[in-house]
Amino acid sequence: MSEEKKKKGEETPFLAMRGIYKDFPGVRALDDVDFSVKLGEVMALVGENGAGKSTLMKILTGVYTKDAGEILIEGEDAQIVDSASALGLGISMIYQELNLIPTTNIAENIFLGREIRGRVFVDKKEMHRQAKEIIKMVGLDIDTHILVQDLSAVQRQLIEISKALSVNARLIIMDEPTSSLTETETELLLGIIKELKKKDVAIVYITHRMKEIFEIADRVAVMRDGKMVTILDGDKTDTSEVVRHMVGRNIDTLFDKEEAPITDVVLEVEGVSTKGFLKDVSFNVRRGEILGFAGLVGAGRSEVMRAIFGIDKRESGVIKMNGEEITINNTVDALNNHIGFLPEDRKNQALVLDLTVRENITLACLKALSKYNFLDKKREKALSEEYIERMRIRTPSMEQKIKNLSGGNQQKVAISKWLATNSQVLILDEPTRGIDVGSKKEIHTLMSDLAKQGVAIIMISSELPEILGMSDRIVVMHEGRVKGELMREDATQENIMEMAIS
Amino acid sequence: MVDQREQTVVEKGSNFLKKWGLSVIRSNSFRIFIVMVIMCVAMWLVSPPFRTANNLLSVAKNFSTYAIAGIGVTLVIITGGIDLSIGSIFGLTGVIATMAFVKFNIPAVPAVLIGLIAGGLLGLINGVFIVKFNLPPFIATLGMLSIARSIAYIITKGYPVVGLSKGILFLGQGEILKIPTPIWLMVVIAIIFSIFLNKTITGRRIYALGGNEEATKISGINTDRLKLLVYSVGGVLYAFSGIITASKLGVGQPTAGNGYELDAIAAVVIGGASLTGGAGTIAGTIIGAAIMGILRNALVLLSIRSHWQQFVIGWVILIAVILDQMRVAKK
Amino acid sequence: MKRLLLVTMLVVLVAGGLLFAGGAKEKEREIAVVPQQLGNVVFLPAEEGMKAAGKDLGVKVLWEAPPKAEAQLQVEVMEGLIERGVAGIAISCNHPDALQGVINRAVAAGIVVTTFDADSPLSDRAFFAGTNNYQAGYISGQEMLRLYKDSNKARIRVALLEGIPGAFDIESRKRGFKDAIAGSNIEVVYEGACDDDVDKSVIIVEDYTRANPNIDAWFMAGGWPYIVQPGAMPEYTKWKQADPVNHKVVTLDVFPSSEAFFDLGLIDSAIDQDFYQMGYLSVKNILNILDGKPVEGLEDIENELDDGSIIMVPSIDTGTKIVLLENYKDYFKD
Repeated sequence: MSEEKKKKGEETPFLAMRGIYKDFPGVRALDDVDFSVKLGEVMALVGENGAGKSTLMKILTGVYTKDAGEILIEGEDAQIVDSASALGLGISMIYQELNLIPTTNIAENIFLGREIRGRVFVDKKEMHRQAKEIIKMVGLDIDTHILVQDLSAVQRQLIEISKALSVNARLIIMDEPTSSLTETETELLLGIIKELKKKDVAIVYITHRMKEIFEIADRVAVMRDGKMVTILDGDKTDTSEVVRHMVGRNIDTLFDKEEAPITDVVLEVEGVSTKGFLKDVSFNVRRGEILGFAGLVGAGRSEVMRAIFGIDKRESGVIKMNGEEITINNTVDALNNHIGFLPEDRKNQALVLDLTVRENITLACLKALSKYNFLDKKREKALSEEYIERMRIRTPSMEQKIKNLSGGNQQKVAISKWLATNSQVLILDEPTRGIDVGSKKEIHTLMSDLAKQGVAIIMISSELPEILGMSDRIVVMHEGRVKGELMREDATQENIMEMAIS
Repeated sequence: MVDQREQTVVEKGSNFLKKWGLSVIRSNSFRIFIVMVIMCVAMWLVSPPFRTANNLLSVAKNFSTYAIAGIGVTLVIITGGIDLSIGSIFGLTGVIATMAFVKFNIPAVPAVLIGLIAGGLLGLINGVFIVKFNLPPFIATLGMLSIARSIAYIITKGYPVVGLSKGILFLGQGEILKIPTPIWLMVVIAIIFSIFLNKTITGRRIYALGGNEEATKISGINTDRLKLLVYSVGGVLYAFSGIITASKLGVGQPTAGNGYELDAIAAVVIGGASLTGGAGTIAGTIIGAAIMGILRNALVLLSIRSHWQQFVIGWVILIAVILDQMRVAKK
Repeated sequence: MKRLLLVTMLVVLVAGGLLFAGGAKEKEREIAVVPQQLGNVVFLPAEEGMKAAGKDLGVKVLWEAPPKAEAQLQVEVMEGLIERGVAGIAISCNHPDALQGVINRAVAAGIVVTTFDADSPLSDRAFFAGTNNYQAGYISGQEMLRLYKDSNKARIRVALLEGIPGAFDIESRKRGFKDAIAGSNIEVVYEGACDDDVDKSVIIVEDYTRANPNIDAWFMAGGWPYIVQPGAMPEYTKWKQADPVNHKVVTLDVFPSSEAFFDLGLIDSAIDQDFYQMGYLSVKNILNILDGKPVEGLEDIENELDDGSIIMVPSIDTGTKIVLLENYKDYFKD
């Protein structure tokens, strides 16, 4: 091992990936990607959600297998077939959701699966002694008997890193390691990373935080739509250049939003906060307006909507409807105030898959279809018929179970459910994610139509072109706060992304 | 559409029958209904005593109490919950109603009502623990299983409640048009709850809740209140079953219903309900209870040694569920 | 709201606990009687006997048992009593071997342990009070033979009702019964198990009798069906009354509710073990041992191990009463 180390040349990077391809059903996740890291180098990897960063790293750690391309470790062809072979080559990944077991102690976590044995039983004394030394490498000097659940977020990160070091990792991949850390903790972690650099460890650092990138990264790799766009020199670039590469795509003509008269404010949200996440979120939406919510995944957009709709508890905040303050403590209140909410997770949150198309369409408006609690099935069928026609839902019959429909048609049913309640405010969380282009277009047309009828629409989307194409006004969120608002005519991919990431 | 309108009344009628027939054949309970018919035909051929009207009525009378408790737990299971306190509530409320009647000289009808209300309250407590304290139904009702049984021992000091007379005995031992009262009660309750589940919006919401709780909640439906409702209604029906049994035997016993939860749940599962929620019918539960009842009767009539009874019942449960899964997979 | 509820519940619990603790300030001498399960009517007279002895002799008595007749649960009850530091325990064992360990631990802890009704013959318990179940079953068999002494039928067919298949006490009774009738013209043609459930016992007796109206006799290895009113058993009543000479019934256990069945001539012979005496004499003689006095009426009597072999154990024979159609009125007088 040590001899190999000496041999490392300036020219041969520790890791080189060439011409990597990966297809998932219906989408090319990686398209001819080249990537490399040298020992003692921090390589930042950036890109929008879905750009292919995670897929690339998962191929490197053996979670996925590549469809084509080659991986070289120190110039030699490497076969990575599973996570064990990746570990064997010295590649360790530290995931966002840490892989530690909270109810066991530090030493047990470090030696999980490779416990030190005495004659018969685990030699605990020796394990704790060695663990103590291992965590010293990352500057931790605490009792190794402490349970992981009692550690702070940064301590857990450090345990993960020391664990990687203890298996002689030479390349450590960190996936947004600072997302749950405070500022001082972040500084501490970045300090450790600098130390690791000195020890000739190669580091791939995935993050959205530009500040951190420019503090530690030697190079910055930018991905977009499954392609490696460019690799920039850390010293010679700046935020706006990185962002330009991240979003630099042409907006196609898919979005033909029609003008709708925008009138009075319907919904006003003032100072909404939730425990430990949302901070003082305020915005409003007008009749006939489509309000886009942009931001990275995890910025808190869905959480705002859940809090407004009475699903999650609010700590503070006022909600007004047509100028009057209303109480929303649960989803029943939201429904009664004519707010509709299409959650992003269609299968788990929007639809009851075992029920029929008809039963899903009418689920939220049963009361209006009943007398003395008895359901008027004739009216129910008529209503379902109406929406199947109006929304052009393609189903053999209204009695078809919803799980047998395509994603686009399922989404139309989920939206119909709220239209049937005569919602004045319609919240759509990623309304076109994972559905075919035709349905996508239909849903956009429908949004325009609804706006024209005076419905106020709030649309969360992680697709910048969709945000730009459909919104009259755009709210950008970052880490639980509203970062800013842009009017349609002022918004560009670049200024939205810049707000969203820093 | 236009063609249909021009059809004659007769054709419409036969069309309706055809449609109805098809819906029966396609319904969840049909396969298990066939199993029941096969069991009956087999017993009919093999065992002359099985054929007597007396025996058949007795079988129906005996499984009707399981069916009534089963209807209660069907509602709970459709929501994706479970209730282990069936047997204990059954025993406790049987004791409460008979004590009210015998010890406190309360007339039969109010005494029975007191028992039913007690059952409803115990069920409501189950619901409160599940909804307000976020306990898993398994745990909440496991607690109630112990607590209700213990209360039954405490209030009776372990002694059976004897001295039941006329009024209250009608519930378990009476007959209307030569058919035992418990059978009538089962039929009436089954009809009421079939209508409840299929015709009311609350019924629809119960299925939706079991199919996907999160989506149902986000559809502006108060899922907490639905849960409180099903556990309370469950409690009332276990109580009714317990009181009918006490009346049938002419004694209220604190030990009654020990282990009945498993029999009732087995009936529901045989009837095609899914323990993950969202599926289940009253008809299925009645057929499930009937299969268990016919099976017990068959084992006695065929003089099969008692050691084999549980063995056979276990297989029937497994086969019924496998049949049901084959049906679902085929779809 | 949630918090309020919890706090209220806590207060009630704590207050209850304090009340109990307050009561047990001075360490009184306590004797616990542990039947096989709570709520089993068979043991109710034992509880009365225990209480009477406690009152007569001025000692605090406890009635402790698991909610179900399971050995493991009973072991837990015993462990609780050892922890509590009672002076004496009388137990009716759900299983002789399963309880042996905990009985020995209690004895080692200085507690006087005795058994009643169902023994644990190889344990360190001081004595056994009762009639053993095998004996009771054997007497039942003899009663059956006596009832058919004058019958000229070539073959007497008996249906048998039992509780939970495999339960030790009921198995002993069955073995005793079968040993007694072995070699005679009486044979058991059916065995039905009611899982210790009264409703199921009635269903089995009714269904079987309806299907086999020519069965000669019933032997009930426990008295489950006689807890109900005779009106709940029309088929059985019809069968017995149709031919009282040739249709006979022998049962173990007698309850107050059995009287109504005698009134209608529905039981010929009921074998009663004297549970009242078991409760009374157990408490009394535990007290004797504690006070260094001799145990009254102690003798070595046969008892059986779970392999069916017989050993002699120090016993107080509480005897059996045979209640017959001819003399049942005297029995139920008191």
